[in-house]
Amino acid sequence: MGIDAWIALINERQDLFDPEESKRIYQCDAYMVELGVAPNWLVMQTAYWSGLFSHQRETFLWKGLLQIDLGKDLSVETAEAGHD
Amino acid sequence: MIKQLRLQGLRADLGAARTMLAGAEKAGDPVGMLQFQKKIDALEQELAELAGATDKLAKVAVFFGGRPVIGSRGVDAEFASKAMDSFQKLVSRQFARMEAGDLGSRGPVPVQGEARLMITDVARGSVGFVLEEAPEQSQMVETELAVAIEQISDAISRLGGDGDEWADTIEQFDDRVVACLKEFFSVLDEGGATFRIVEGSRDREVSHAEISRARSRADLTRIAQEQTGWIEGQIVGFTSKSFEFAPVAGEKLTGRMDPGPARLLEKAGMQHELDKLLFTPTRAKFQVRTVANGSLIRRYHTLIAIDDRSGSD
Repeated sequence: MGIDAWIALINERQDLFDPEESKRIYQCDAYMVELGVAPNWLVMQTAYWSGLFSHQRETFLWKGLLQIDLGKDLSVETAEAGHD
Repeated sequence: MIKQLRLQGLRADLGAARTMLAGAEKAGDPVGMLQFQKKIDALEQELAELAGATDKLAKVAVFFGGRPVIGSRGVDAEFASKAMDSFQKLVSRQFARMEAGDLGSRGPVPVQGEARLMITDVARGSVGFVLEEAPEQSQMVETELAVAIEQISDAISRLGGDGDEWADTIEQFDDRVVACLKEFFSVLDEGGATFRIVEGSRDREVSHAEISRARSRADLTRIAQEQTGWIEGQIVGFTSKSFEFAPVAGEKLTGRMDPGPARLLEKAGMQHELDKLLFTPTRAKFQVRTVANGSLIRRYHTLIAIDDRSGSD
């Protein structure tokens, strides 16, 4: 996906790409990481977000990250596995 | 959490986010550029809000290093309890002095309970404690206890410093506070510790060499105090807290001014009658504190009274 296409998508879906909008609409502190970037840049981003969200800044309490694969529909997978 | 420590944490986060934004730009990653720019905006806003905020409760973080500390794992319990006990005494006595004036060298310390600090957290990153004013004594504005802690923190960091300015620091305190400073530095010195104290927007570190020097200064310093009789001369300058007085005989005196004469000068200024007190023959009384340590002897004058009728005699 080229840069122009990304910019068009970002502008179209501010609810997903603008963290303030995501928080307001979905109550999620969500940040996007593109997996198709250069490996060293992907590793840098992984380290950054992992360091930032693995614990609270002031209390050092552990917390965690929820990773959602946008290529899958969880409701379909659940139905296929025979669950309700 | 101490405001200064929160600010330091936010600034570190901001620095990391800016590095990441530069990385996103270099990688030509529009998604990353937007995410990190948004993160930077949010951190800058949080920093601006925090910088303008005032702590309503007195808070202080104390960190220990050196021999009593093993990495960031822990601190010797006996050392830590002695150090915290002597720190609490220091704060209590300075607070009592601010509230009730100079303390005698014996007897119970008044208003000691009101300076009670609670350990509310452990300071992370190294070994230390966060102390906070007990809530029942909180006020809507910066509390007197916060001022006492600031003065003690300033004294702890300056007493071991280079030069002679430590004498100006120790002069502000009475004998009981100086005795507490001795005890505090002796606990740290004998423990082979280093010390860091963070309160308000200040972050101060004291090395073990400075602690030893401060202990020696606190041990060997003698402070004497006396009050003069009426001295004839002229007030030749003043601010709300300081004065310049030219005696008829001897060198010009400068120093702090007590609230009484400060009010007198303020009232004269409002009534356009300053000429009755300034640059005109008058009489004044002073408290003289002498700080002596070996060959160093310094005298500090405080203007305690002006004879406002002496000029019209």
